[in-house]
Amino acid sequence: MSTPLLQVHDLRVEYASPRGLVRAVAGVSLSLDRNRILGLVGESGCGKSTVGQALLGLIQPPGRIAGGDIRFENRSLVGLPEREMRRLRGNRLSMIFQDPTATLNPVMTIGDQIAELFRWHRPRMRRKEVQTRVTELLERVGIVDADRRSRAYPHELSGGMRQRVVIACALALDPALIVADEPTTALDVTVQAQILDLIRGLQAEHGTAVILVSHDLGVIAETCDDVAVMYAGRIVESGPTAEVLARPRHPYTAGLIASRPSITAPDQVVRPIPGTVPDLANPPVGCPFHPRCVRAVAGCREGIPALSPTREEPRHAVACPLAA
Amino acid sequence: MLSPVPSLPDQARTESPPDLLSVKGLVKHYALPGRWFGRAGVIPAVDDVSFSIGSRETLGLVGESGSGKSTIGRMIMRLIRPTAGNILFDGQDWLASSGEEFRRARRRVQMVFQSPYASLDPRWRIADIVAEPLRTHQSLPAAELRDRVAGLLQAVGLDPSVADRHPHQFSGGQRQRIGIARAIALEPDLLVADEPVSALDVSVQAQILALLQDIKARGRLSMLFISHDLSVVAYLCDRVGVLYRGRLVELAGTRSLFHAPGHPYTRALLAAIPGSGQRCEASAPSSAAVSETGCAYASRCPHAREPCRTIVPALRPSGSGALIACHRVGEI
Repeated sequence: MSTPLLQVHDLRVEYASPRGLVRAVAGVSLSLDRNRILGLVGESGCGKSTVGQALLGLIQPPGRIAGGDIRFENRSLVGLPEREMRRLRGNRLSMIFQDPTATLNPVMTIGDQIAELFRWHRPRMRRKEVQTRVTELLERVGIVDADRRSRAYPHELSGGMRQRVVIACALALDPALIVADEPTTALDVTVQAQILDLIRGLQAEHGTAVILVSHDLGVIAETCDDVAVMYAGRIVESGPTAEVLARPRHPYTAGLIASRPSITAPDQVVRPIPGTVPDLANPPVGCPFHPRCVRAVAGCREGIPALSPTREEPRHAVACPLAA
Repeated sequence: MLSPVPSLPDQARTESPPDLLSVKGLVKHYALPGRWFGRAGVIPAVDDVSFSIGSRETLGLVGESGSGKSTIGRMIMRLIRPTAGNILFDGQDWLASSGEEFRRARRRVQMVFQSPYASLDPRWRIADIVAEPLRTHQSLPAAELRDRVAGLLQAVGLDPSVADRHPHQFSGGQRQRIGIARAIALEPDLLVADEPVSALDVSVQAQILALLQDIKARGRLSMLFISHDLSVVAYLCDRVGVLYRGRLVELAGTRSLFHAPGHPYTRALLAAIPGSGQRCEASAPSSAAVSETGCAYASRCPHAREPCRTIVPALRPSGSGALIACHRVGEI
């Protein structure tokens, strides 16, 4: 298994908008092995969700993949006909969305919704077996009394339970990769802890690779092996999670960490990053972070810095000439 | 400018001046739609909650969704009417005041809302949004009004030249600044802030926290800060009340709450914060197993014993100076 499960090379996604072309993803490269959890972290509009959607072939007009390649299980997903993509989606790769209420069909029982996946992707599977698999899946995601609960409608379940059902759907066909886009953002903090435990458990038990998209560095720290920090459509820093969070090199990553009040040190003053995220229809010239960067020098306005490995730890890469 | 406010030891609160706001036995029940031929049930959204806020003090209310924290804020703002209980503001019966008396008192209590998108009228100019409370409560000459608005915009870190623009031209963080400018326009004594930073990005959240900290340090403002985010509450509040299913389960100084949480639910909340390095010991919340009697947390609590299921624990002083509603406090 020398080639990674997923290799994204120079991915570009653009949206046509009345204000001009929005480059939501402006050249993202990453790779992911089986059995790993990669976190994509950033603020709204940084392109982290768009990357996730591109992986599942969910970019719709006026958006389009404008360049780059996505290789998954040794085949290219960019330009794959929708019919083929549909065979993969939910099957080899699947997605967990933020809002479980919007993901589930309100007029179908949760058992039927999971069973539908088997009917679609495994048409030969017998009814009885489908029923057994549905019950197993619900048990696996921690729903007690699964047989009876499978006959419940989504509105009869709490938010955390609904998200467990969504995860059961994502797992149903044993995918190699799951993209989870802010899977716990709509949930209470004690429920969030349980769902994150569940996601970690899946990876440990089944070797499923996970891409966890989140705005919350705490969630990333607790769940992911590796992290990629995105800003204005690009990865500005990446590496092993513990290393990146302990020794952030990019001024943006450092700023994000300093922006969060800490419960262990509440007297520590939060240091906000001045300004706001750039308008991607009209991005700043040069390094996209330079207008907000405390360390910016004249050179930062010339050319976009490439993501390059740091000297001390080659797996830790940073897109800032001042920090590398 | 943002030097940390020196925090008083928790005990110092006992001999502080009379409370600005005092809430006693606050209750809000919502009726459930009745089943056919059945009896309509009642949801106690807020159940017998009492607390007070001193002058210049910031009290945090934390809890998960459905804990009743926003309902309490709305009752204090008189946006909804309590089922029972009373609220004293500056020694006066806040719920009984009406007419001109209420109008005069009302300007002393202002609110900052969660959504910076829903809380500003998209058709109004920024100048009019910020000036509205001034127009309602004070009659100022046009030139003075304009100066006041410019001063307020500056106070929240916006350029006064934005006054002629409309809300859609601003980012979420800037809109929240506008909402805060409007809330502090009348120099209120009490600010009720309901999740004011939850809808914002992390880097912008920090800007608004710094702004609130700054306003707090400059004036004589008291604040009720409602949030689900414990780290934000730890940063901004002097004391914190923890709500669970409509009841206060713990009320303590921020330092003692975060260093030595007394109630099992508070401990579970703290352990659940990602990156806290602790494991959450509470079991999953279940809607079915809540008993009519006893501690509402008993069905999830790893320490629950017999009395927990039959007798509702009262909020009592513990050894550490915190108020805790748990039968087993001291044993666990």
